[in-house]
Amino acid sequence: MRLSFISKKDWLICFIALIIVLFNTSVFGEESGGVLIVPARLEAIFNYDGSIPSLYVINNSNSKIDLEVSYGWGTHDLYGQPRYLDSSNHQALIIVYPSSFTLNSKEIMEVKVSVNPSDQPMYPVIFFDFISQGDMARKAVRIAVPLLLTPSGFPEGEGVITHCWLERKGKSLIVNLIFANPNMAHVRSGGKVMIVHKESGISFDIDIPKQIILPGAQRLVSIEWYSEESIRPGIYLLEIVGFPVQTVMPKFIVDVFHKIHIYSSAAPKLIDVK
Amino acid sequence: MKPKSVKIRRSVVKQMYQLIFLVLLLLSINTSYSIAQVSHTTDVYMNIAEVIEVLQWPTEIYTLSDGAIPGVPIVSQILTIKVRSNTIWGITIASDQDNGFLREYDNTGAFYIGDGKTTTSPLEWSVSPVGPWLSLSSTPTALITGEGPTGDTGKEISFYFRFTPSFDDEKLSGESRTYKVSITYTVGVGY
Repeated sequence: MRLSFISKKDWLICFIALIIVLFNTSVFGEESGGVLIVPARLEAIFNYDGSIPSLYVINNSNSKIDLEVSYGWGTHDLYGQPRYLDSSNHQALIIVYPSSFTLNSKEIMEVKVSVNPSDQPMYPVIFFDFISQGDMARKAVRIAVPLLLTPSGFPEGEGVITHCWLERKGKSLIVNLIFANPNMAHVRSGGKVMIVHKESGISFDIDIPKQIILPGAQRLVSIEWYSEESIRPGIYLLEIVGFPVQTVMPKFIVDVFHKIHIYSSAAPKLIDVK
Repeated sequence: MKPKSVKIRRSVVKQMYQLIFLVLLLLSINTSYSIAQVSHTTDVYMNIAEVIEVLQWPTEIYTLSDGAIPGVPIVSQILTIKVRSNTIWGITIASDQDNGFLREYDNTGAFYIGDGKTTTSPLEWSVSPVGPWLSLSSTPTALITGEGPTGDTGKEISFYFRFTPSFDDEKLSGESRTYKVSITYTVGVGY
């Protein structure tokens, strides 16, 4: 059938439009997605059989991708930055299945993880290595998924604050706390910093952010305090008050007192920290 | 003229109709009221999973130079890792060699030469083409840390490599021989 009512010019315009659409689809398709892992971090209680919730890998890209799954062990430094440790000393403890697979575009893979039954908490890290497709397999990039696994009924521990110091940052006061975790299970920082004007009793309080501290690790938690209100000159007491948090994590119960001498309301000066 | 009894009957019928209408009206109102009184609530709960997605990463093979000149630093083109996350995340960078030095490598056999040559300086990296430059190491170093949620658009992290050859660095003989170091980028949410 001849479509005589459509001119050659119209065909050309339609063809160019089609090319543009296809080009945009391919370009934006690549940009629209990558390789997604959920959950990106797993905190779970494992049962007597060592089973824990699965991890899922979703290929949102338009390309096929090969992945290898392995594991190591994790901890963190003073600033919470992860440190990944070799798995060579713990070969038999973690099982991941499948340990390698290919994901076509828009496919999802469930990766089952189980641990050997243990009465101790574990902090493995599951690594997902993207493997390039070509003559020689090369690891391109890796996603690390930290697991925080506690056996059912494991007793709660308590963290401690080992150091506390103050510093000024412009008109703000920075309260630095180092939390340590001497327990077998991870804990979370928590509680409040209370700043109390000694003479008037006027107080300000700031929540201490909840940060995870792994067993044997320390973590610096910094809290900035800036008051919009006029700050009276005088002696201030700094008190750190802990309280039990709602999860299986323990409580911090530490009372620390510091003296802060503030000269002017505009720019607090810190002169006495003991 | 109609008889009186007929008039009375009609009046009664009319009143009956009025009564039925009234009863129906009351029933209707009562039913509507009853329907209005039957209410139901649904409480919807949900939470969001922590997710991390890598959208873009550097090419697996990058040739810095085929003929590097001693004393002249070579800076790579911009390399990018694009990440989308709804929680705090970071990227570490590490090399397969302890101190980031490049080692003699056989491309055909895909192995490092045991007693092969090693460059006299390490490969360096920076988030800016003008530095400051940091030596690569097998100990993972933070390329970026403590990044907040990216939103739907994601976040691109760009960086560069630099290598400065020395006159102590020798040209490798053989077409399959090259200096090589492997770099691993680890993306994760941490603790």
